[in-house]
Amino acid sequence: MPDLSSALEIVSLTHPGMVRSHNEDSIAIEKEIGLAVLADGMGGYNAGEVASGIAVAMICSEVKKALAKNKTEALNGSAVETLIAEQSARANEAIYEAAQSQPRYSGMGTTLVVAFWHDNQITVGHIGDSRLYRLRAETLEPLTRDHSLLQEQIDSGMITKEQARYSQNKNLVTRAVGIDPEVEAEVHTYPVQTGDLYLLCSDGLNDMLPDEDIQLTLSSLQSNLPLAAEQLVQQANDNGGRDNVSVVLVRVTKDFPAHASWANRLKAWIR
Amino acid sequence: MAKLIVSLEGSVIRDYPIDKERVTIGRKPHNDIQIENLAVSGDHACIVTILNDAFLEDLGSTNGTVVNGNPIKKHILQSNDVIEIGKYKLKYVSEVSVAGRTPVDEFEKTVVMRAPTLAKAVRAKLGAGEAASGPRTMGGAAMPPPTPRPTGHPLSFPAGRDGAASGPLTSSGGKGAAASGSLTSPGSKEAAAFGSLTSPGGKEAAFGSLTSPSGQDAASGPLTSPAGGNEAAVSGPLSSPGVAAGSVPGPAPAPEPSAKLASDAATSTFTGGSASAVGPAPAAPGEPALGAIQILSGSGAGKELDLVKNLTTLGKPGVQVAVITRRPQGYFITHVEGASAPEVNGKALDAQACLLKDHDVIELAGVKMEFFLKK
Repeated sequence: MPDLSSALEIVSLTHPGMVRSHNEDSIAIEKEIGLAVLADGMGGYNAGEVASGIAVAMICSEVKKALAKNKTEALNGSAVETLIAEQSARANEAIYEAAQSQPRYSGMGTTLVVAFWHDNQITVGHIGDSRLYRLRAETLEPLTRDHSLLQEQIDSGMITKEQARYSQNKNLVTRAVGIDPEVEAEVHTYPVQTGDLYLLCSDGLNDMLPDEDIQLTLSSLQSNLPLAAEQLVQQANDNGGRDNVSVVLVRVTKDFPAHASWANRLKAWIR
Repeated sequence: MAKLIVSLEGSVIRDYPIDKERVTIGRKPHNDIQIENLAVSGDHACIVTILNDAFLEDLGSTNGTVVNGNPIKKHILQSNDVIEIGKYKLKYVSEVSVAGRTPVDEFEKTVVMRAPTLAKAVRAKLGAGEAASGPRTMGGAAMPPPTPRPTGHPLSFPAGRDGAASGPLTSSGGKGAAASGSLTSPGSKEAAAFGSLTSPGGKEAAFGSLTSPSGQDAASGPLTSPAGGNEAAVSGPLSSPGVAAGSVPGPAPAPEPSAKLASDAATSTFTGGSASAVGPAPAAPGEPALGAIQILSGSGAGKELDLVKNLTTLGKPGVQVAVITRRPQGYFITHVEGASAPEVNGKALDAQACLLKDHDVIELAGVKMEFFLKK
């Protein structure tokens, strides 16, 4: 696998918010392999961060391992999708078993969003209401669709997106990791362009900050990603900070094909 | 439980509890809330409650349904909404919101909806016939019921894992406690394992060298208007600037922002008197004054720009850019990009956001401009 460190600029920030006493979100980033994972845990006491911590740690180490095994040949698109889906399922099993076997973890679970950059593409897998957005040419677009009651209501035409802002049902997810013995991640792959800016976030951001403000922040501060991340978290907190807020920003600074072209390899060899 | 208080010309007639999934309002006697008045249609409107949300829907009435002065077809009721049907006013009062949602954790924690509940909620509204999206939306429902699985090996991944997180959990009993110990400290485990959490310190280091001011050519068009027009950029609770101005001057990455940063502010950001003393008298409580900047030099001299958005960037991309953020506590300026930092009153900005006071003079990309507060 090519090292993606030079093709991706990654910044992340997590904050407990203004109301919660502890942070149940977990983030992990593996820049070299182009992997970012964000999970928003739920469950009493500390079980939420246990669940999100397991999900994030397992997916990172397992994806890394799988890639190491395949180092001679790059995985193709569908193999990557299978890998993300399988590892999400495994994290689900691990959390479910832990929750079943230990009373204090009973009922714990987590949302999950996994983004993996490979061969000029991004494969995103998600479960629950943690999101991935893409800013391309100043246009912000969500690449994930929440697994939540609210999204179901929007999809079925019961309410409009505008009305959804006023809903009291923002916190109901319809799919989560670790709650049932099996869960299916929704996995998609999209082509990547140089200059794209990706945002992974927990619902503590998008519940507190309308998409227009996220768009404004990302497009006006994209030259300074640490500041952009900080401003996103700060605005969520200024608006009430009702939940933990986590953001991962990933900017694609150059292309990253799986195989260097024949001409490029020759050039490198001559040099 | 929520209720509707029905009144006519200012005098309350009756309270109706919203105690069913569907409560109907109309002139005909079969309605739950019957209003015998010719301006009210036979079947006028209904309120459908799904978990915490109550949806008011006009059922094609002749004279329409108005909420808080606006005609609606469908509306998510908020506590204290006033529904007008003919001359009658129906005030919606939801005790969930009224009685103080004290345990925020209780109400707002993310909760998983198990499939049966969801199916019911969706079906309730969609009706059986038109559930076109039913099979898909209820993907969860199609899932087989939890089947007991062998418990001999609680975790099914290969044994030789290095992941500290899951390792301990594979064992049972006493070691489990150790596992939870290592997992429960927020952030620390992940940080140690992956080195992934960018602390704000990283940013500061990056900015550390950018303090020497250097002469810049006068930018002809010093204002880059950030893309994406949205007028309604400012949302959320706004407190009066006088009260809040001194409290949180910087970005708030720390776990206890208000307390901690307030003390930081006292020691580092402000020299001398508190900001509230310098700032203008607060306008109405909860209504911070609108800030604006006026260009003082260069070709754009005299131009004014109201700072209505959460973020306004100033300067020349690639040369020197600063951002002014509008916050409940007031306006702050922060350096975004460029080899040299912008100056406020002749002093170069450091990595911290700087609270702007009335009549502060900002200099960036060679252009001077004045920040001021509109009354």
